[in-house]
Amino acid sequence: MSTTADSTATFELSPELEKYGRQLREWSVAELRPRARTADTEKKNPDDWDAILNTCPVPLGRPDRDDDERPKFEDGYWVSQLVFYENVCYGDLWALPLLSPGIGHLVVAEMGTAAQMETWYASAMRGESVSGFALTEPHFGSDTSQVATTAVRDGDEWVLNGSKIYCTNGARADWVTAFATTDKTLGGKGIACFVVPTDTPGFSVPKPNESKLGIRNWMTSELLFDDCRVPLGNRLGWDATGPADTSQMSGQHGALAALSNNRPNMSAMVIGIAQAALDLTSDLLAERRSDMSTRRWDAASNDIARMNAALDRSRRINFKAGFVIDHGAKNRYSPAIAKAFAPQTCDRIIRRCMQLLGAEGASKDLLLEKWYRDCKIADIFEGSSQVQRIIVAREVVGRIAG
Amino acid sequence: MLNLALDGDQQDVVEMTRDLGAAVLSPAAAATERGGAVDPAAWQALCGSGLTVLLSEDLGGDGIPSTVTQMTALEQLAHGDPQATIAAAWSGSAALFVSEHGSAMQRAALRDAAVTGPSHRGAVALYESAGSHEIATTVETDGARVRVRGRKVAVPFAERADTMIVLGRDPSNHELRAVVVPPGQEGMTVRPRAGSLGLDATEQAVVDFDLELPVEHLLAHEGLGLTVARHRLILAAVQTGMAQRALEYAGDYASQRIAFGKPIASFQGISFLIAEAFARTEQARLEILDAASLVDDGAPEDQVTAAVDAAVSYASENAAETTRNAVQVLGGHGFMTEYPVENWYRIAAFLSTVDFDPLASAFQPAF
Ligand SMILES: Cc1cc2nc3c(=O)[nH]c(=O)nc-3n(C[C@H](O)[C@H](O)[C@H](O)COP(=O)(O)OP(=O)(O)OC[C@H]3O[C@@H](n4cnc5c(N)ncnc54)[C@H](O)[C@@H]3O)c2cc1C
Repeated sequence: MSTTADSTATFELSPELEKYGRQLREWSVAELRPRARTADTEKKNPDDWDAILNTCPVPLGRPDRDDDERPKFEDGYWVSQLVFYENVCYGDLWALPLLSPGIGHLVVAEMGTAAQMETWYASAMRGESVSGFALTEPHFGSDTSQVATTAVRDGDEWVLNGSKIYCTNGARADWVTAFATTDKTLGGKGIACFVVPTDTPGFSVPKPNESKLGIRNWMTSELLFDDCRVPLGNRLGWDATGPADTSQMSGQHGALAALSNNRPNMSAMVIGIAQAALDLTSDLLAERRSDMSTRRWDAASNDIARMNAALDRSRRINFKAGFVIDHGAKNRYSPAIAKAFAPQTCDRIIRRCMQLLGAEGASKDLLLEKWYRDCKIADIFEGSSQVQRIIVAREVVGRIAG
Repeated sequence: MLNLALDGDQQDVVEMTRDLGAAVLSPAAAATERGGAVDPAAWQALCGSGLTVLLSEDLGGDGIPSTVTQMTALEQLAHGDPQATIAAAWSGSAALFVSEHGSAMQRAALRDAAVTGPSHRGAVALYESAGSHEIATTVETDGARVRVRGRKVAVPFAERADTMIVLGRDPSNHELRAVVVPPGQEGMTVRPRAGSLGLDATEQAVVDFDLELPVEHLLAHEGLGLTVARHRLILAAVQTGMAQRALEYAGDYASQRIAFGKPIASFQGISFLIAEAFARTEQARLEILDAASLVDDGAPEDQVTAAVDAAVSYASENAAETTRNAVQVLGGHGFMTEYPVENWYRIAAFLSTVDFDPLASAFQPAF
């Protein structure tokens, strides 16, 4: 097809990024997929996870190594992230928490001073520390104004009290960004964020991992802050003497902004899994072609084409979300559409794949049933699809949308 | 004349089964799931209800209820625990095939088998990779012998069924045939049970058949299509009872859980999810009632099959989506095994694979 000279728009990735993605995908299938079933059953990473990750032919950006930085691509950082998440999850997603520094540093990026960026953000980006994001409490998740964990100033320290649940990586993090209220009467505006190193006295992990539907080897931890003291300067936006010169963003806004940037990554994760399910199903059905009537073969083929088209649609909005952040023209709706669409669509794709294969499609002999259980989380954490719809509606009609 | 009212007996059955579901099955559901086997007390209660093991009076049973009564009862029982209910109903369905189509000798054997006893298990091997459509298993009669060849999936209690009914087609005329295969029969290979997304207490497995039996093992084939239709409706009724339970559970939760200053049920993003789940579940129920009444009326087989195809497909789609909504309404809590919704989510999706037809629906993305 010929293109006019001034048409530069394209969804094509640079050959370098394309190749990086392909290598990740092949490695993920070869090395991660064979360990997926055991990670699920035993609810933990394989003991030799370090050796497994060492087999990757391309850098993974591991937080536990300083010689493993991910390459930079001209497509941009956030777009490259999407390619990373999709392809590394194509084999299976069990290793993902080992490959990401968490999302605490993203909060630092939104709310921290230059000095805090240097200490916490930079160390995460260099892969030297793993962080947890501690916002959710038993009585709330979506409504972040309900933070009940308190932070009280005592001289040159902040004293934190309260408990947090469902903190991804909590039990293995080096530090967590804990959201706490300094003044309950202020509601959301009274919420601040504190960097709490996990060896701080008064910090503990009463429950390292919950018993879950899926992502069973991921640590989903309960955290307890019991008179947990951190220096004044561990409050984001502060230094050792008090408030420093930053954008004055509240903890609630900081949390939401950090989540917003990560949402397309979570969509890319489930796109990778759903694509894996679809490819596997196409292959298995092809082997059965001779056993199927033409009518049913055609119906199944049409379904597979529709599912592939839906995944491409998920990728386009995801790339748009990444592209606009990379180009400093971030909007609220792109990541929200991306995260409202992909998780539910991918659940349905995996379910349809199992259905097309009949009852054996849902057997533990295959990974489809695991992927179906894993995938469901993407529509719950980091903002449910209901919350995403509210964000999109507000884009169109303003705050009156509830 | 159109009549959608249940008669007095059916109303009693509804009450009895709803109570049994709430008092016995629901409290035992977690133990059944954990143990991967139906809780013995729940099993006993189900078999004693006369609504899972369908046995005519001359065989020592309570008589065979109408299909409408049976499906209404199964829906109520599944509201208590879908897993125990379908395990018992699938198991008991084998007795129905013999009651309805068995020779005097086959019926006598069934009478002696104590089918309502605690350890008896039955199995109907019907489903294949393409659900109940395009059955490829062949049942060929050659003089005094009958030969069964094929591969069945989701065969309940495959390793230990005392009464196993295998459905296939006669290659000479493509008609349905059913054979009673004795336990441990040579030529029957049960694949090792890997476990599934859900419903492991049905002890279902893949079974390969390549065997020959005396022709006396064949069931009479008049009306067999109607019995198969009835058997398939079990799945639809259980999906629907489970969907009802899940949406009620989500509704209760949504009335208690506060976000943004109000119970989340007051947000249309939540109340519409629950309303649509309820609406679809009611429609699935009516669709099953319609199909069941056609079975009871002995309507032409094509008409019955079409009605059952549609009811099964809609009931499964509804259950899968409704249980997903229930997980969604519970948010992070829905993802935890401490709450029952994640188990319903797995069971509904598993069942939706068992009797699936790509011609009955098409893939739909989120929006
Ligand atoms: C495996 C896992 C890992 C997690 N990791 C983390 C983590 O690392 N850090 C962390 O802080 N939290 C984490 N969470 C918590 C997660 O972010 C919350 O579960 C999520 O925000 C939803 O909150 P909730 O569970 O309290 O549900 P609720 O907020 O109670 O919501 C319940 C339901 O109501 C809906 N709803 C809420 N408000 C509205 C509205 N206004 N309109 C329409 N619908 C609405 C929601 O969409 C949801 O369907 C994790 C959870 C899980 C399960």
